Amino acid sequence: MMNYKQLTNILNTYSAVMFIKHPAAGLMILITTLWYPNIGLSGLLSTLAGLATLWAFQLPKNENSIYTLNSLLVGLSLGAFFELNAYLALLIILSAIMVIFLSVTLADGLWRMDRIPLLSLPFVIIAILASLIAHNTGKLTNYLSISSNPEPWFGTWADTFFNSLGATFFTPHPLVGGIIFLCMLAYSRYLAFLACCGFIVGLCVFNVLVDNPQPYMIAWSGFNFVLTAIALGGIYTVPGVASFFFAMLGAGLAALLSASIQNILLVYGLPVMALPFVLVTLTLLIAMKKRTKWSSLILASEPGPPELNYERSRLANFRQGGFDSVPLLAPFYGKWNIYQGFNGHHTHQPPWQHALDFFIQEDEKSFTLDGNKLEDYYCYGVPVQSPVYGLVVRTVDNIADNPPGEIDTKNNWGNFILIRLETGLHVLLAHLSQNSIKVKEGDWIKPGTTIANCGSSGRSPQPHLHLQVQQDATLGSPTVAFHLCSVITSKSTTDAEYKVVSRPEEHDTVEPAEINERMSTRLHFPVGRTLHYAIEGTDISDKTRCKLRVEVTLAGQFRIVSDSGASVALTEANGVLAFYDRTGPADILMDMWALGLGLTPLTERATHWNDSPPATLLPLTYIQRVYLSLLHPLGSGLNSRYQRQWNKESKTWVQHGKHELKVAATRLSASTTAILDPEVGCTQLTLSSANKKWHAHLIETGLAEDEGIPGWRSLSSGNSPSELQNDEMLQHQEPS
Amino acid sequence: MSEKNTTKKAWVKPEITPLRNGLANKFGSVRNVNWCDSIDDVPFDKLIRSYGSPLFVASEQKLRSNIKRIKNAFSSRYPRIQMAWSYKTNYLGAICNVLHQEDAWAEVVSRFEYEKARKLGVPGQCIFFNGPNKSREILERAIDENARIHIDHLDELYLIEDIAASRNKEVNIGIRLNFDTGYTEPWSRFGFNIESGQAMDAVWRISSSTHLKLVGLHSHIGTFVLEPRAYSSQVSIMCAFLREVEGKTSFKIDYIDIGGGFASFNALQGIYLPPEQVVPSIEQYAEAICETLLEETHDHLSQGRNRPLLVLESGRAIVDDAEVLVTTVVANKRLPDGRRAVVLDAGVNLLFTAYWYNHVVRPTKPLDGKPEETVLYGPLCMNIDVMRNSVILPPLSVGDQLVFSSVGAYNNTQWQQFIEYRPNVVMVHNNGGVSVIRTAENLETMTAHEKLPEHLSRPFPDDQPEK
Repeated sequence: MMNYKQLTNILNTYSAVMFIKHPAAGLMILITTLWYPNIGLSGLLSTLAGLATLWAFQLPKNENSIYTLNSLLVGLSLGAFFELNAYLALLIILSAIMVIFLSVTLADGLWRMDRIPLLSLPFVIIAILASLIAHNTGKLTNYLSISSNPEPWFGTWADTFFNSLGATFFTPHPLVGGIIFLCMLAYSRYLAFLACCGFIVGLCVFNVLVDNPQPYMIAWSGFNFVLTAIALGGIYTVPGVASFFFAMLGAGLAALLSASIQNILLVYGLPVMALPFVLVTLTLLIAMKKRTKWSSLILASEPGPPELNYERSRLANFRQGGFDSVPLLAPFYGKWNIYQGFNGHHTHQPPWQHALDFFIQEDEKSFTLDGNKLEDYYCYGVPVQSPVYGLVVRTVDNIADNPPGEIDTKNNWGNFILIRLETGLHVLLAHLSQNSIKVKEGDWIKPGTTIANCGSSGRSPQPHLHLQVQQDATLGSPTVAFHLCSVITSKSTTDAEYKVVSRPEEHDTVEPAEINERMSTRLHFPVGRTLHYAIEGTDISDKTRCKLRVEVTLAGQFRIVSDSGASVALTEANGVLAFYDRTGPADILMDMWALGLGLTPLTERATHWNDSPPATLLPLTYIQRVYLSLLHPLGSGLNSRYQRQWNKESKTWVQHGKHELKVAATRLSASTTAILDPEVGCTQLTLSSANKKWHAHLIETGLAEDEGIPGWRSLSSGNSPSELQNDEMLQHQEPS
Repeated sequence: MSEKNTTKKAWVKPEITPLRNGLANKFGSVRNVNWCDSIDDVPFDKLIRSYGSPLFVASEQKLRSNIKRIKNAFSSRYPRIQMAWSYKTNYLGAICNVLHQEDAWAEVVSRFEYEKARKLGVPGQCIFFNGPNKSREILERAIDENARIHIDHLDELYLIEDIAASRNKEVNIGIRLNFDTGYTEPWSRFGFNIESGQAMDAVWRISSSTHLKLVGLHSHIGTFVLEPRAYSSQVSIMCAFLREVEGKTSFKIDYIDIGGGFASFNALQGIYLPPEQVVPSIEQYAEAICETLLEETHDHLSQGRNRPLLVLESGRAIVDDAEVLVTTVVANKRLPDGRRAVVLDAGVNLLFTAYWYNHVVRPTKPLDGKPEETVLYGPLCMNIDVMRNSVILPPLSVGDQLVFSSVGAYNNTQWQQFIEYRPNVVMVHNNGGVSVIRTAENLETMTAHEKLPEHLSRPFPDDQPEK
């Protein structure tokens, strides 16, 4: 018997063809493919054959259904070309098995090469090869005639578009295409928009290149324009002006390839299938990864719907200083100055423009006494800490420190440590003091590990520390932008300010902000932690209790999940607790949590900071939500300003947030207050917007029991922390 | 006659000097023969005219830059440091508040110092309360105000436990430790001894109490410690003890207080090399302490814990060279052994540290004449009142001024009210302004606390005839 999960797998396979991940959309599409039962059943047969192959050979599963997607398409194509009989069924099953093996073989290799997606490449190869068998046998009869024009339905223009969409599933029928389009529209308006624009651009190019194109040609080629536009403009890139034009260019190129390839394949009675889409998308994506300079076109870190890509990129820009900037911690203790910043005029020139030189100054002098001995310099001999988690791949430790004022250009970098990051990039710390390196090649190090002392070796006229992120392990390979996390920076002595991310400039002062242990302990959310809140406020009839629970996904992402199923992802890194990726149904507690604590620095030095959480977290009315999604289809970020003070009376930190968004002439706003008790955690949350107000207070915290791990619960009075029975084990709690 | 010929040579006081060997020895006993006429661009003669002689002059700028240098030297080498101003070194309110403004907390050792810190506005939780004599009364206040108390002996532990129990409160405490670093004379009269197991016994006793929680370890290895390795050794021993405590009990040690004792640029009597050669720089101390501490607390990092806070109770190294004493020559003398002697208006009553330092003494203006070995005496009619036993100075006239430098530490606290009134103490500010931070004593202040019983209210009977 087929269970629910397997059914979902089949349905997701259908929707995945259009880059949609939704079983309902898959079901709609499955049904529409049965418009031509011959095609629909062939597709279903090959999908099942594909799933059976995966199961029988214990092949890895792919959550994006990319393997079965290719087997589905093979079945659909063969079903479209030939009438279903025992011979074709055998051909479909064999082809489906072959395509699964090919997909599994290629997918991993391509991804490892340069994170290249598989797309429907195996399908194109196998479908063409399998179709050619018709020349050797008389047991196959043609089903759909590729070169016959489809029947009119909606009207010329709509027919052309919808036929083309239907042809994605080898059912070139306007009704099928219409339903596919509706699914797209429901899933992502931006994808539907890209589909229309891509089709129009591709069609124009196609019309210019081909004299008097026949409607059947357009129907069998057009979906290539659509898929290319979707993939390049929304799935594999971050939506924006640059990626839109990139997608349109891709649609045009797909038209070029369609126009030319059809002449080869029509000889064998075959349409171009998805070959133009696969060729254009893969080549353009691979080529974009080889860019020497990052442009405004941003490739998504992992494929996803455009709204999600946009949201991730928006948050990354705001919280991390951009997708392409590497987060580092300050590699030292105390207050340092920037001797030379990015693009510094001394030596920080391309391709080494992304580098920081640090030294210590007091009263604008870097030395005490007369400064003619290295020991006179404040930063000489001071310990240097690792700014990252990584693997030490190279160290040089035997170059003498230069006397002040002299440089050693033979050993440009002097003594250095090169650390490999998980991403494959490398961090270089240079000009270290002779014989001071405390780590060796092959060591795994973490932030805060003392690795060497600051020195003045190599091209260093006075003791200083050089920090850069570079592309590979070659000494002095081209540099990559980076930023420092959770630091206090200042231009003068009076304007010291906490920054979640900072890229300091020449003469700035930088000081790492010390993590407050009490704050970080209480705002630490291990898997299984449960928090029970009582909520009251607008539209909540009585005091409602709601439970939040920390779960971890298979990919290792931590999420706080509410009773209602709403959840938000959390990360605790580089001295900051951050929430993102809110999904699931409406849930006021989850929204309060994500707004009130959205970005929380775990240091007492942070008194005010900004963030930009998604506007959908605001308690909006249905009409406001529709209005917002029309004006900002890709989503929009709030202008959130946070302030935090220590309240002496209640002995808690009070974290206020003001969240605002200007949409055309209207202004949406809300304010949040989170009370952080150093003994308990977040004891109270309030959210108020217009005349609505909600309040939640913590009644109980605990840890769910796990195999071999006892659970615990402790009561929290919420209002008066002094009465708290902190961490008291009351009873073992059953895992829920 | 032309102008040139009318110029007379300056008159130089005639003198006879015996020929003596040993002055030009290899240790260079002639040092700082130059003169010094101002502090932070404020001339001494102006200060003396306004505020009288003798006069203590403190420099706000020097104070701030001294503490900043220490703070930076340590905070660039270790992630968590806290300075605590050692009140006994110099508890004049203005001095304390300059340092508090530079983020230093207070380190006090008595009821008076505690009350003074609180009066100056230091919150209780920013006060480290050391010392062997803490009365119940002041402990009650300190506990109520969440001061960081370092217990010195078991009797104090019982007292604190009793107070905590009566208030039903959990009190965070630190303990004072003593041990042999191998470099300095152990100060074993304070705190609990590690080697004998006494300290661990005390920790067990604390862990058995429901009202006490051990959060800090404190020790102080000595004063004017010239060997930075002594501190490495101290930190190692304390960290080993920390691991023992955390391993055997459930306490988590939040801070390690290593006391003070850094030497200042002053010449201790009996040490022949000049301070420039024997006194380590603050950076050398910082390196010795922080390098060891980083190594010893590396396991905190792997446990995801913050490293313990490093508390420094520096006194002398911050304040000593931020204050000078200006004195005036009262008289010249020739001693029977032929040495020249000068009587000054300030003596060991004001400059208590003259007992153990050879202070730098410089005139406030260039003086002519051949420098000669001189004894500097204070104004007291006591044989011990010697400011410098032997210093090479040019001939001095009555009214000339001499500046004693590096006098900021222990003088304004240990000076004596003896024979003389104590003079003004002024502070020169960053903007060149000058404030009196302690006014000179007069008869009224000297007798303010005296009470005359009725029958002793008159020295002589009223009806006594005039003599």
